[in-house]
Amino acid sequence: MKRDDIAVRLAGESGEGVISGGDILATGAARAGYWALTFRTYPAEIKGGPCMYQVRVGAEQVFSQGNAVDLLVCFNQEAFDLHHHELAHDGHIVCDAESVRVTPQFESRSSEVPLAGLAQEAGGGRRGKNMVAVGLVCGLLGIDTARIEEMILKRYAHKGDVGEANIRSLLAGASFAREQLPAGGHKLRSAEPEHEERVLLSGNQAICLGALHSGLAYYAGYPITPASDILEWLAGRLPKFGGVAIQTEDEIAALASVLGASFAGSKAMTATSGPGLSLMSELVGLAGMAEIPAVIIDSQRSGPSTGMPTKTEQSDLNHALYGGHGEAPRVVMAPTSVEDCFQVIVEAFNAAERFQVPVIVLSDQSLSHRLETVRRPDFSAMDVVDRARPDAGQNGAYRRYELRPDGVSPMAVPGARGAYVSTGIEHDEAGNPHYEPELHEAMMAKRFRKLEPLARNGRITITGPERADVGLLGWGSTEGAVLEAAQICLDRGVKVSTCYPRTLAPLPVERIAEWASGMDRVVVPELNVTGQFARLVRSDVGLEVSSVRKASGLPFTARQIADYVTEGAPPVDRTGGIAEDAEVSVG
Amino acid sequence: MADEIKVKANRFKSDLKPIWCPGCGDFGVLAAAYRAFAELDLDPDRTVIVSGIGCSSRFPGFVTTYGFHGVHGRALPTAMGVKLANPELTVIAVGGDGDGFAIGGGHFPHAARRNVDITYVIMDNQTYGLTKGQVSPTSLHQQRSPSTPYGNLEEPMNVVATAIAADCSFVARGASFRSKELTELIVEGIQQPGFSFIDAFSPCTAFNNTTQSWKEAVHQLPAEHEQRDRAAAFAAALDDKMTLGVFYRHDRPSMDALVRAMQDASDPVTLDELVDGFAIAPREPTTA
Repeated sequence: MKRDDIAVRLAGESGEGVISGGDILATGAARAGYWALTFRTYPAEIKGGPCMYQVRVGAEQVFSQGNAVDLLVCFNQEAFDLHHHELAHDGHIVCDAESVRVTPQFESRSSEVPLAGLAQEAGGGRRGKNMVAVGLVCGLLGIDTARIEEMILKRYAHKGDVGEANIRSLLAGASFAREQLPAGGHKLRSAEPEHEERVLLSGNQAICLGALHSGLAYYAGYPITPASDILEWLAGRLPKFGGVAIQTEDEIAALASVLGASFAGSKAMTATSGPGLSLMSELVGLAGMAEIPAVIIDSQRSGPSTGMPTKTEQSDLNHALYGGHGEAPRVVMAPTSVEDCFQVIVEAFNAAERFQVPVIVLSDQSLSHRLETVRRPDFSAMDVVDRARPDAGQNGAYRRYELRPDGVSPMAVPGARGAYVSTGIEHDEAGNPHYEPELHEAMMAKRFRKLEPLARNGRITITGPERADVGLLGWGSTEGAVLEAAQICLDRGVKVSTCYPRTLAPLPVERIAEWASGMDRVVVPELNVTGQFARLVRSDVGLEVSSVRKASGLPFTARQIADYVTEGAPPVDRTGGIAEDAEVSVG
Repeated sequence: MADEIKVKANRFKSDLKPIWCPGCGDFGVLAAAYRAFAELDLDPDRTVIVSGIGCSSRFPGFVTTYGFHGVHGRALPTAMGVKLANPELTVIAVGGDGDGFAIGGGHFPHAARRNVDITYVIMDNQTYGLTKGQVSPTSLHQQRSPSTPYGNLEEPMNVVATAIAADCSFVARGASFRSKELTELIVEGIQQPGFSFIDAFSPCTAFNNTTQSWKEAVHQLPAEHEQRDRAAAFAAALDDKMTLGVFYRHDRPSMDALVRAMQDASDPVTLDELVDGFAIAPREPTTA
C-alpha cells in the first residue's frame, strides 16, 4: 500500500551537505507536486557538530514535522546513535556503509549503502554523497528526479561540471535504491495535480513578503539567530522598493531607529530573538507611551540567557505581554504556520498603524526556519491600513494626543503641518509635559482603550465540533501538530476542538470563554517550562485548564499531544538511543 | 538684517517655558539654536529635534519644530531613523554629556561612522544635573560629588578627541556664554553634510557651577588652524580642553545620500515577482 505521507530524515555532521541536501529534497518533492514541511536542527557552532534535516512529504497538505522518522539516512555513526530511536516501528534506516555500524536489533531494518563510494564513482568526489542520499530517497519514495536535475543544473550553472557530477551522484543513488534496496512500504501515493498555485518558503521569508505588502520602508536589526535572515533578505530587497535595511550596533539602536523612522512617517520593523527583545524593553515602553507604530518580530529560541540559540521554544510570551517598567500598551500576535505568517504580519502592521502601538509578533525557531509548501498568498485580499493623519484644513492648534472616544489621536508627520514633540514623559493633549493626577489617569485610559476593538475582532481559528470532549487551546507554531493530534484523538474515539487566537494581547477573552463553554475540558499545550499561556488563560479568562508543556528545544509531535489528551502521558523527547522505538518511547 | 533674524528666531520659541534653573547654560545654547535656525531659515515643519533624557534633553519642547523626546541615551539611533525615513528633513540631536557619552556612548562612534546627516549638540556641564550632581563622563579627576565623596577616581573623557578619532564629518566646541560663535558653529554643523558634532560647554549653576572659571579659561582656536588636517585637529584637541572653534572637517557623502544612490541604482521589482521566486511551477503528478 502506498503512503499518504512520509517523514525522511537526513543526519550527519555539519558541513557534510545535510542541509543543502534536505533543501534540494524538499524543493524537488514540492516541484513534483507534493506538499512538504521541513524541520531541522543544527549546532550553534559554525563548523562541526551534528545536524539533521527532516522533510515530511505528503500527497496532501501536512501540518507538522511528523511523529516518527519513516526513513532515516545516516551519514555517520553519530547520526545513527542520535536518531535511530526516533525511527517509526515500520521505518527503515539507510546508512553509509563505510562509517556506520547499526546495533543488532536494527540490522533487519537497515541497509548499508556506499554513499561516498557511489558519489566517487559518479565522478563528483566524495562530497557528492548528499546527492547520492537525495537520489536514494527519491528512488525509495518514487519521486521523479527530473525536477531535481533541473534545479541542480540551475544552481551550479556557473560552476563548470559540478552540476553534471551532482546529477550523476543523484541518479546513482536513485538507481541503487531501485535495484538494490528493499521496496518496503515507502512508496508515496501519487500527488494530486495542483489546483492552486503553491510556494515553498520559510516563516521568516513569509514575514518579509507580508511586511513588504504592508508597505515596510525602514528595517533595522542586529544579527541574532534565528532572526538574522530577515535582515539579510530585506537588505537586498528593500532598496528596490525605495526603502532601506540597516544593521545597527545593537538591538536598542535597532528599535530606537525604527521608532524614529515611524515617527517620521515610514512603516518600520525590527526582528530579533529573546536576548534582543530584553534589550528593547525600555523602547517598547516608549512606543506605547509616545504612541508610535512599530512592528517587532521575536523569533523565540530556547532560553534563558544564551540558552540554546538554534533550538525552538515558546518562552518569551510573558516578556512580550508584560516586559518593561510601568504599564505600556502593546499588541502581541503569534502566527501559527508559514502560511499564517503572511496574514499575521499584515495584521500586525495594520494594528500598529490603526492603534499607534508597538506590535510584538512571536514566531519561533521552528517556524522561522522551516520550509513549508503553502498556497500562494493572495495579498490583494489583505487590506493595508495607514495611520490616521490630522485634517490638513484643520484650524487652531494641533493636539497630538487629543482625547477622543476611541482613544486614537490623529498623528502628524514631519514634513507636513502639525509640529509637536513626541515624548515618553506624561503629557497633555498637546504633548507638553504634565503630571496632574486626572491627566495621567485619562491618558493611561486612552492608551489602553484604543486596543478594545482588537480584543473583539482579532482573528481566531477554531476547528472541530462546538461540543467536544477536549478543547485544545494554544498559540503560535504548535497549531500544526495540534490539528493533526485532533485527528489522532478522533481515531481513538475522543472528540477534540482546537482554538488558536492570533492576538494574545489584548486577549479575546470573551470569545475564548464562549468556545470553552462547549468543551468538557480544556488543554493548553505550549513549549515552555512554566505554562505561560495557561496561566494567562486562567487569570484573564478565568478558565481552569490543563497545561501540557515541553521545553526540550524541539517542537511537539502530533502524537505527543494526542497521547497526553487520551492517556495523560507527558510529552518527552529523548536522544542517545535511550529508547529503541519511537512507537513505545512516548510517555 | 539683525532685527529680521531676531524676529525669525522668535518664531522658533515655543509657548513652553524652559524648566531650567536661573543662569543655566542651556538657555544660551537654546538662544544660539533659535538664532541658527533663523539664519538658516529652517521650516519648523521640516525640522526635527531629537533628544534623550536629562535637563538639556527637554530642549525639543522649547522649540516650535517637530521634536522627539525619547529614552535615555538613544537620541542618535532615533535621529538616524528619522533622517533615513525622510532625508528631506533637517535633523538635530541634542542632549547632555551623560546622555551622550555614558548611557548612550556606545552609539556615538557608529553615528560618526555611518555619517547620517545629523547635527549633534551636547550640552556639556560635566555633571548629572537632573539627578542632582553626580559625576558624568566629562567630570574632572578628583571632582567631588554626591557619588564621589572622596573625589572622582576616573579621568574625564576627551569628547572632541573622541569625535575626531571616530571621524565625524564636523567636530567643534562652543560655549553657551559665547552665543555668537556657538550660533555660527550650529549653522556650520547643520550645513556640513553627514554627522556633525558640537560639544557645547553649558555650565550647571546648581550642582557644578563652572560659569566664571570657564568664561576665564576658554579661548578660540587660532585662525590658521587647518580644519581638514586630522593630525592637527587631534593635536589641538589634546593640547587644551578649553579650546573653542571648529577642530575638524571631513567632507564626504552622507549615508542618507548613499542610501538614496543605492535605491536609485537598484532594479525595481514587484512583490508579485518576489513571490514568483518561491513559486512551485505546476507539474503533472510524477509518482513512479
